[in-house]
Amino acid sequence: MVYLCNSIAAASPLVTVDVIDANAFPDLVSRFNVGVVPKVLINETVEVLDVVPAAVLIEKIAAAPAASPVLDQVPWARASDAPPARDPIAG
Amino acid sequence: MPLLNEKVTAETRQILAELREPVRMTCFTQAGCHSCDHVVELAGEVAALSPHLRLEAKDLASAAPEAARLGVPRVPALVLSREGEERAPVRYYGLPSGREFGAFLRTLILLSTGRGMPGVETATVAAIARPAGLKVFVLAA
Repeated sequence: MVYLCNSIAAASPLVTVDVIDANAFPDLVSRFNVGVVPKVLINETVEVLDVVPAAVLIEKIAAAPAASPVLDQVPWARASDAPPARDPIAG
Repeated sequence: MPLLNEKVTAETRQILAELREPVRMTCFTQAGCHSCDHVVELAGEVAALSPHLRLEAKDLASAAPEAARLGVPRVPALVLSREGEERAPVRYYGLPSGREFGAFLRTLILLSTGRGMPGVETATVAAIARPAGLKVFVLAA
């Protein structure tokens, strides 16, 4: 599924892929209810759990609800990962 | 000790011989991130096997504007893009090793040659009419 997703992202300028190692990011596993792998999440809403043909995945991506502007405002960074705010005085 | 043993190194070099156009690997790290070192090391070992691969390591905090532009909120992140293009279609979070290493190498070839999985071409993805973000959860090791 990774290669299929990456192939779609390479072919379509509208698609980006985040390949996430579940072992390294347990908080994301919890947040996105990952019970089995591979698991594909489209716009953080539509789940694809099985290995599916390319045409099926493309259809699901095309039909998925648009990315939520609310989700966009809540990045999946942990607070500890976020770049520190610049000191307004020191720059 | 290198992460790739001699046998895997030789096989990887052979696989990467398919690369044609340059591919950039940008690794975002952060102080105190132990796994970041492994990702930089692995990417470095892979980059050393082909003249078509470029590797840059950047600190997430000091390169915050670029990280934001590329949509990178976490570390370790390895961003793959065609050299000279602003867009980064694929981002790896964590070490693309073990069972994911093969797909990682094939993705480098895909970005370099433009040849991906059969059935996935510009015409077939034209049905996708608005931006979409895919998260693919895997178990790398």
